[in-house]
Amino acid sequence: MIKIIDNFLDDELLKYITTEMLSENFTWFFCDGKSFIGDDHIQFQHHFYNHNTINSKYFDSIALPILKKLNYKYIVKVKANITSKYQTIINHQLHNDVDLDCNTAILYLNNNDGKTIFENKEEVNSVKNRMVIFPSSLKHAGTTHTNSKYRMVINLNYI
Amino acid sequence: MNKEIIVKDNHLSEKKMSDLENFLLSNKFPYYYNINIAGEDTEKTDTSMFNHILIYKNEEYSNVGNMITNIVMKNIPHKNILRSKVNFYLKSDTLKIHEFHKDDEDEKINIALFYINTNNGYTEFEDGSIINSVRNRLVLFPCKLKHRSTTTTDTRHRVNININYD
Repeated sequence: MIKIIDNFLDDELLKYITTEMLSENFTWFFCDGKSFIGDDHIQFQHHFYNHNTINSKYFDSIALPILKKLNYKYIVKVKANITSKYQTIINHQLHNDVDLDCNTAILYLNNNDGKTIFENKEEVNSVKNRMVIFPSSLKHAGTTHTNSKYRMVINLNYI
Repeated sequence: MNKEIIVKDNHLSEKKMSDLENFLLSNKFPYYYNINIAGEDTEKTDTSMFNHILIYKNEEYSNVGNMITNIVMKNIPHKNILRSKVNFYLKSDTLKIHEFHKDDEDEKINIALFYINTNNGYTEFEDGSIINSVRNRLVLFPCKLKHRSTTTTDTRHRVNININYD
Protein backbone atom coordinates (compact mmCIF):
# COMPACT_ATOMS: atom_id res chain seq x y z
CA MET A 1 0.00 0.00 0.00
CA ILE A 2 2.92 2.32 0.80
CA LYS A 3 5.60 2.39 -1.86
CA ILE A 4 9.05 3.81 -1.21
CA ILE A 5 11.46 4.75 -3.99
CA ASP A 6 14.93 5.91 -2.92
CA ASN A 7 17.15 8.03 -5.19
CA PHE A 8 14.02 9.13 -7.01
CA LEU A 9 15.46 12.09 -8.93
CA ASP A 10 18.78 12.34 -10.66
CA ASP A 11 21.34 14.31 -8.67
CA GLU A 12 21.38 17.31 -10.99
CA LEU A 13 17.64 17.88 -10.82
CA LEU A 14 17.56 17.35 -7.07
CA LYS A 15 20.34 19.87 -6.59
CA TYR A 16 18.55 22.39 -8.80
CA ILE A 17 15.30 21.95 -6.88
CA THR A 18 16.81 22.31 -3.41
CA THR A 19 19.01 25.23 -4.42
CA GLU A 20 16.10 27.13 -5.94
CA MET A 21 13.72 26.40 -3.09
CA LEU A 22 16.18 27.74 -0.53
CA SER A 23 17.10 30.76 -2.62
CA GLU A 24 15.96 34.35 -2.26
CA ASN A 25 13.85 33.90 -5.39
CA PHE A 26 11.52 31.23 -4.07
CA THR A 27 8.35 32.41 -2.35
CA TRP A 28 7.01 30.79 0.80
CA PHE A 29 3.64 31.61 2.33
CA PHE A 30 2.85 31.42 6.02
CA CYS A 31 0.34 28.75 6.98
CA ASP A 32 -1.15 28.84 10.46
CA GLY A 33 -1.40 25.07 10.82
CA LYS A 34 0.42 21.90 9.87
CA SER A 35 -2.25 19.26 9.37
CA PHE A 36 -5.20 21.60 9.93
CA ILE A 37 -5.53 25.37 10.18
CA GLY A 38 -5.17 26.40 13.82
CA ASP A 39 -3.64 23.13 15.05
CA ASP A 40 -1.00 25.11 16.97
CA HIS A 41 1.81 24.36 14.54
CA ILE A 42 2.96 26.43 11.61
CA GLN A 43 4.70 25.86 8.35
CA PHE A 44 5.51 27.73 5.18
CA GLN A 45 4.05 26.49 1.92
CA HIS A 46 4.55 27.05 -1.77
CA HIS A 47 1.70 26.00 -4.03
CA PHE A 48 2.84 24.82 -7.44
CA TYR A 49 -0.65 23.73 -8.52
CA ASN A 50 -4.01 24.04 -6.80
CA HIS A 51 -7.66 24.42 -7.82
CA ASN A 52 -6.87 23.44 -11.42
CA THR A 53 -4.41 26.31 -11.71
CA ILE A 54 -0.65 26.62 -11.98
CA ASN A 55 0.33 28.87 -9.10
CA SER A 56 4.09 29.03 -9.43
CA LYS A 57 6.66 30.09 -11.97
CA TYR A 58 8.54 26.98 -10.82
CA PHE A 59 5.78 24.59 -11.92
CA ASP A 60 7.52 23.65 -15.18
CA SER A 61 11.01 23.31 -13.76
CA ILE A 62 10.26 21.68 -10.41
CA ALA A 63 6.79 20.15 -10.19
CA LEU A 64 6.38 18.86 -13.73
CA PRO A 65 9.55 16.72 -13.91
CA ILE A 66 8.52 15.02 -10.67
CA LEU A 67 4.96 14.46 -11.90
CA LYS A 68 6.25 13.01 -15.17
CA LYS A 69 8.40 10.57 -13.27
CA LEU A 70 5.30 9.55 -11.31
CA ASN A 71 3.49 8.88 -14.64
CA TYR A 72 0.69 11.24 -13.70
CA LYS A 73 -2.51 11.55 -15.76
CA TYR A 74 -4.21 14.31 -13.81
CA ILE A 75 -2.88 16.77 -11.25
CA VAL A 76 -4.92 17.46 -8.14
CA LYS A 77 -2.56 19.48 -5.96
CA VAL A 78 1.19 20.00 -5.68
CA LYS A 79 2.85 22.01 -2.96
CA ALA A 80 6.06 22.26 -0.97
CA ASN A 81 6.28 22.50 2.81
CA ILE A 82 9.14 23.75 4.93
CA THR A 83 9.33 23.64 8.72
CA SER A 84 12.04 24.65 11.13
CA LYS A 85 13.91 22.68 13.77
CA TYR A 86 12.21 21.81 17.05
CA GLN A 87 13.69 20.27 20.18
CA THR A 88 11.37 17.30 20.41
CA ILE A 89 9.64 15.07 17.90
CA ILE A 90 5.93 15.77 17.86
CA ASN A 91 3.47 13.88 15.69
CA HIS A 92 1.08 16.12 13.84
CA GLN A 93 -2.57 15.16 13.33
CA LEU A 94 -3.46 12.41 10.88
CA HIS A 95 -5.28 13.72 7.83
CA ASN A 96 -6.05 13.18 4.16
CA ASP A 97 -4.66 15.80 1.82
CA VAL A 98 -7.70 15.76 -0.47
CA ASP A 99 -11.15 14.19 -0.62
CA LEU A 100 -10.56 12.70 -4.05
CA ASP A 101 -9.57 9.06 -4.54
CA CYS A 102 -6.10 9.56 -5.95
CA ASN A 103 -2.43 9.07 -5.10
CA THR A 104 -0.49 11.07 -2.57
CA ALA A 105 3.28 11.29 -2.94
CA ILE A 106 5.88 12.95 -0.75
CA LEU A 107 9.40 13.71 -1.92
CA TYR A 108 11.85 14.34 0.91
CA LEU A 109 14.39 17.01 0.00
CA ASN A 110 16.74 16.66 2.97
CA ASN A 111 17.79 14.15 5.61
CA ASN A 112 16.39 14.70 9.09
CA ASP A 113 14.82 12.79 11.96
CA GLY A 114 11.30 13.87 11.06
CA LYS A 115 9.09 11.30 9.41
CA THR A 116 5.72 10.58 7.89
CA ILE A 117 3.43 8.50 10.08
CA PHE A 118 0.38 6.58 8.86
CA GLU A 119 -2.88 5.44 10.42
CA ASN A 120 -1.78 1.82 9.91
CA LYS A 121 1.19 2.57 12.22
CA GLU A 122 3.76 2.42 9.44
CA GLU A 123 6.39 5.15 9.40
CA VAL A 124 8.66 6.49 6.68
CA ASN A 125 11.85 8.35 7.58
CA SER A 126 12.85 11.61 5.92
CA VAL A 127 15.66 10.55 3.62
CA LYS A 128 16.92 12.96 0.99
CA ASN A 129 15.60 12.07 -2.48
CA ARG A 130 13.20 9.44 -1.13
CA MET A 131 9.73 9.31 -2.68
CA VAL A 132 6.86 7.72 -0.80
CA ILE A 133 3.60 7.00 -2.62
CA PHE A 134 0.32 5.88 -1.05
CA PRO A 135 -3.43 6.04 -1.63
CA SER A 136 -4.86 9.43 -0.69
CA SER A 137 -7.47 7.63 1.43
CA LEU A 138 -4.72 6.55 3.85
CA LYS A 139 -4.51 9.06 6.68
CA HIS A 140 -1.01 10.32 7.35
CA ALA A 141 0.84 13.11 9.14
CA GLY A 142 4.25 14.65 9.36
CA THR A 143 6.28 15.14 12.51
CA THR A 144 8.59 17.84 13.77
CA HIS A 145 12.33 17.24 13.48
CA THR A 146 15.25 17.98 15.78
CA ASN A 147 18.50 17.52 13.89
CA SER A 148 18.49 19.83 10.88
CA LYS A 149 17.72 23.50 10.36
CA TYR A 150 14.76 22.74 8.16
CA ARG A 151 12.62 19.91 6.87
CA MET A 152 11.54 20.42 3.30
CA VAL A 153 9.27 18.19 1.22
CA ILE A 154 7.23 18.33 -1.95
CA ASN A 155 3.75 16.93 -1.60
CA LEU A 156 1.88 15.76 -4.69
CA ASN A 157 -1.69 14.58 -5.14
CA TYR A 158 -2.38 13.14 -8.57
CA ILE A 159 -4.06 10.45 -10.62
CA MET B 1 17.79 52.50 29.04
CA ASN B 2 20.11 54.15 26.53
CA LYS B 3 18.74 57.66 25.78
CA GLU B 4 19.49 57.23 22.09
CA ILE B 5 16.79 54.54 21.92
CA ILE B 6 13.28 55.91 21.43
CA VAL B 7 10.24 53.69 22.02
CA LYS B 8 6.83 54.66 20.67
CA ASP B 9 3.93 52.44 21.71
CA ASN B 10 0.60 52.34 19.84
CA HIS B 11 2.36 53.75 16.81
CA LEU B 12 -0.43 52.97 14.34
CA SER B 13 -4.19 53.21 14.73
CA GLU B 14 -5.71 49.85 15.66
CA LYS B 15 -7.35 49.61 12.23
CA LYS B 16 -4.09 50.16 10.38
CA MET B 17 -2.24 47.84 12.71
CA SER B 18 -4.78 45.03 12.24
CA ASP B 19 -4.80 45.47 8.48
CA LEU B 20 -1.01 45.34 8.35
CA GLU B 21 -0.78 42.35 10.69
CA ASN B 22 -3.40 40.41 8.75
CA PHE B 23 -1.72 41.17 5.43
CA LEU B 24 1.72 40.08 6.60
CA LEU B 25 0.29 36.77 7.83
CA SER B 26 -1.92 36.18 4.81
CA ASN B 27 -1.43 33.90 1.85
CA LYS B 28 -0.98 37.01 -0.28
CA PHE B 29 2.35 38.00 1.22
CA PRO B 30 5.36 35.83 0.34
CA TYR B 31 8.43 35.20 2.45
CA TYR B 32 11.85 33.91 1.47
CA TYR B 33 13.87 31.37 3.41
CA ASN B 34 16.99 32.75 5.06
CA ILE B 35 19.33 30.17 6.55
CA ASN B 36 21.58 32.86 7.97
CA ILE B 37 20.58 35.32 10.72
CA ALA B 38 22.70 38.43 11.30
CA GLY B 39 25.76 37.00 9.61
CA GLU B 40 25.94 33.95 11.84
CA ASP B 41 27.94 30.90 10.89
CA THR B 42 25.22 28.66 9.58
CA GLU B 43 27.12 25.52 10.48
CA LYS B 44 27.29 26.45 14.16
CA THR B 45 23.80 27.76 14.76
CA ASP B 46 20.52 25.99 14.46
CA THR B 47 18.17 28.83 13.75
CA SER B 48 16.88 30.15 10.48
CA MET B 49 14.24 32.65 9.54
CA PHE B 50 12.08 33.93 6.73
CA ASN B 51 12.13 37.46 5.45
CA HIS B 52 10.75 39.70 2.74
CA ILE B 53 12.83 42.60 1.46
CA LEU B 54 10.62 45.63 0.82
CA ILE B 55 13.20 48.25 -0.16
CA TYR B 56 16.88 47.68 -0.96
CA LYS B 57 19.46 50.37 -1.71
CA ASN B 58 16.78 53.06 -1.89
CA GLU B 59 14.71 51.16 -4.45
CA GLU B 60 11.46 49.31 -4.07
CA TYR B 61 12.32 45.61 -4.10
CA SER B 62 8.79 44.27 -3.65
CA ASN B 63 5.54 45.46 -5.19
CA VAL B 64 4.28 46.36 -1.71
CA GLY B 65 7.62 47.71 -0.49
CA ASN B 66 6.79 51.39 -0.46
CA MET B 67 3.23 50.85 0.69
CA ILE B 68 4.20 48.89 3.81
CA THR B 69 7.24 51.02 4.61
CA ASN B 70 5.28 54.25 4.28
CA ILE B 71 2.65 53.01 6.72
CA VAL B 72 5.32 52.51 9.38
CA MET B 73 7.36 55.64 8.56
CA LYS B 74 4.45 58.06 8.40
CA ASN B 75 5.16 60.88 10.87
CA ILE B 76 8.76 59.71 11.33
CA PRO B 77 11.03 62.42 9.83
CA HIS B 78 13.33 60.94 7.21
CA LYS B 79 14.92 61.70 3.84
CA ASN B 80 15.62 58.30 2.37
CA ILE B 81 14.70 54.72 3.06
CA LEU B 82 17.86 52.75 2.46
CA ARG B 83 16.53 49.32 3.29
CA SER B 84 13.29 47.92 4.61
CA LYS B 85 12.39 44.30 5.30
CA VAL B 86 10.00 42.09 7.17
CA ASN B 87 11.59 39.53 9.51
CA PHE B 88 9.70 36.38 10.44
CA TYR B 89 11.26 34.34 13.27
CA LEU B 90 9.83 30.97 14.16
CA LYS B 91 8.99 29.64 17.58
CA SER B 92 11.74 27.67 19.27
CA ASP B 93 11.58 25.50 22.39
CA THR B 94 14.17 27.64 24.12
CA LEU B 95 14.86 31.28 23.33
CA LYS B 96 17.58 31.54 20.69
CA ILE B 97 19.63 34.73 20.99
CA HIS B 98 21.33 35.85 17.80
CA GLU B 99 24.63 37.70 17.35
CA PHE B 100 25.20 41.40 18.07
CA HIS B 101 25.54 43.33 14.83
CA LYS B 102 25.15 46.70 13.13
CA ASP B 103 22.77 46.78 10.19
CA ASP B 104 25.15 49.10 8.32
CA GLU B 105 28.58 50.61 8.95
CA ASP B 106 27.33 54.10 8.02
CA GLU B 107 26.72 55.70 11.39
CA LYS B 108 24.53 58.43 9.93
CA ILE B 109 21.84 55.86 9.34
CA ASN B 110 19.00 55.32 11.78
CA ILE B 111 17.01 52.19 12.37
CA ALA B 112 13.29 51.77 12.92
CA LEU B 113 12.08 48.45 14.29
CA PHE B 114 8.34 47.89 14.28
CA TYR B 115 6.91 44.92 16.16
CA ILE B 116 3.95 43.22 14.54
CA ASN B 117 3.08 40.85 17.39
CA THR B 118 3.58 40.58 21.14
CA ASN B 119 5.84 37.75 22.29
CA ASN B 120 8.66 37.01 24.70
CA GLY B 121 11.31 37.74 22.08
CA TYR B 122 13.17 41.00 22.31
CA THR B 123 15.80 43.32 20.88
CA GLU B 124 18.90 43.65 23.04
CA PHE B 125 21.59 46.32 22.81
CA GLU B 126 25.25 45.99 23.80
CA ASP B 127 24.76 48.19 26.88
CA GLY B 128 22.16 45.73 28.16
CA SER B 129 19.09 47.72 27.16
CA ILE B 130 16.27 45.37 26.22
CA ILE B 131 13.18 46.28 24.24
CA ASN B 132 10.40 43.72 24.48
CA SER B 133 8.41 42.72 21.45
CA VAL B 134 5.10 44.47 21.92
CA ARG B 135 2.57 44.66 19.11
CA ASN B 136 2.40 48.11 17.51
CA ARG B 137 5.61 49.27 19.20
CA LEU B 138 8.12 51.29 17.18
CA VAL B 139 11.75 51.52 18.30
CA LEU B 140 14.09 54.11 16.80
CA PHE B 141 17.87 54.08 17.32
CA PRO B 142 21.08 55.06 15.55
CA CYS B 143 22.79 52.42 13.47
CA LYS B 144 25.97 52.71 15.54
CA LEU B 145 24.27 50.82 18.38
CA LYS B 146 24.98 47.13 18.04
CA HIS B 147 21.87 45.06 18.68
CA ARG B 148 20.63 41.53 18.42
CA SER B 149 17.34 39.71 18.05
CA THR B 150 15.85 36.55 19.47
CA THR B 151 13.33 33.94 18.51
CA THR B 152 10.15 33.50 20.56
CA THR B 153 8.97 30.66 22.76
CA ASP B 154 5.46 31.76 23.68
CA THR B 155 3.99 32.46 20.27
CA ARG B 156 4.18 30.56 17.01
CA HIS B 157 6.08 33.37 15.35
CA ARG B 158 7.79 36.70 15.92
CA VAL B 159 7.35 39.24 13.15
CA ASN B 160 8.85 42.69 12.85
CA ILE B 161 9.71 45.26 10.22
CA ASN B 162 13.26 46.59 10.10
CA ILE B 163 13.85 49.90 8.33
CA ASN B 164 17.19 51.65 7.75
CA TYR B 165 16.77 55.34 6.95
CA ASP B 166 18.49 58.69 7.05
